[in-house]
Amino acid sequence: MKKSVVVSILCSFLVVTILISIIIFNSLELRTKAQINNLFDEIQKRLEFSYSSNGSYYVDGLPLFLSSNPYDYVRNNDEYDSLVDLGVRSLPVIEDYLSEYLKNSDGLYGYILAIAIEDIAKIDFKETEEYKWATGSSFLNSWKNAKTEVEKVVYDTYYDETLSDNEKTEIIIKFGVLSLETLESIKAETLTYDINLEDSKADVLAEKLVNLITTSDRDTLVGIANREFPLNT
Amino acid sequence: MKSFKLFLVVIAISIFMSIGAISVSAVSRENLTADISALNFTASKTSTVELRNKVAKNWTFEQQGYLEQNCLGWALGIVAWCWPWDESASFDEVDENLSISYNCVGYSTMSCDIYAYGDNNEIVHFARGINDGPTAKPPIDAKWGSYEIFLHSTTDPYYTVAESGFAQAYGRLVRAYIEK
Repeated sequence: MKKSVVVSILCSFLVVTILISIIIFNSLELRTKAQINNLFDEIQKRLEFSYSSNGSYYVDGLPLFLSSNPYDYVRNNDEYDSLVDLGVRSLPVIEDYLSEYLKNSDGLYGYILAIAIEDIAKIDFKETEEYKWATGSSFLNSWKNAKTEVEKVVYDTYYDETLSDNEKTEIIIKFGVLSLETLESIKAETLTYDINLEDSKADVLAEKLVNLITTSDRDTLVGIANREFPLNT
Repeated sequence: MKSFKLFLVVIAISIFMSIGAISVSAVSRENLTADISALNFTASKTSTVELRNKVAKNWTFEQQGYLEQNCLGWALGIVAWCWPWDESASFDEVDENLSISYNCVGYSTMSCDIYAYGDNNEIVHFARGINDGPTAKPPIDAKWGSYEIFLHSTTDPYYTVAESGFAQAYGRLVRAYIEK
């Protein structure tokens, strides 16, 4: 009897945990998709009123409608900022949405989702040789390639003895948050225990890189990767 | 036996709630998919004659075009919103990006494939050269952002900031490119 009580409690706990996970995942997925729709609605609204509303939606003095620069469409746009604020966990949802969108066209909205992914992932692939892009579809290709290659590049770079720490940093942070998983693995691999002090210490550079990527904003990381900002290691 | 009943009740409630959560998610997903489909190749927005006259010294409506295509996409012949640069495109950055397929011929107005417009070392607009440049009538056409596609009878048809009523304009012809 006692055994069955324990089993039933455990099973109930398991079911409830699974249920909560499903709800949380769906909640994030729904929130992200809803926010993407809010952003598209806002851009549509700005397009409709860019000329007729006496300059309400001008960008640098030019009616938004006349602009071919996609960045003009997300500038000073709270809905875009809200999408980016959803953070790293929303990336797979945005990527899926972009992938679906591109089945229909390679237009402005796809490009805007690509900008959002770059902002959230703290990357600027246009500044790289390997992952340059110019449209939503070319971004998605670059993004998928980067996800496939990041682990090897980060490992090879990290353990390349011919490179200085600064050079390693510049190469690795070009991948932004995509590099975090591999860096965490390196941290775990390099973790050494001091039995006497009962303390543990990961490799210093891996630790610094994780901190740098998680605490810095995109502009800072891109600036360091492109050698526009000094790097103090 | 009592605990078994308790287990069955908890499981039943959990399954019921799970089905509810999944159903809500499925319905919402269906709606969102419908929204994506609606974005498929929309016609460009229609500009007013007043706006056209403020943008260009000469223009003739050519075609409506697609909202999913910008000026560079049109000039390159692809139905896409194409912009290889970050927030602004300097002359040098544009030269570098287009150099893969195009030779820059400076400010020439002669028989080029792509024309670029702007000011203050920033390019904001592109047009497509048609046939033999100035010998063809008209020599260029261009898609104006989210608006339609227009023919122009000169290769330098746009007003500058000083000439237009806007604080920024497409500006003067600053670059021309010929396909390699």
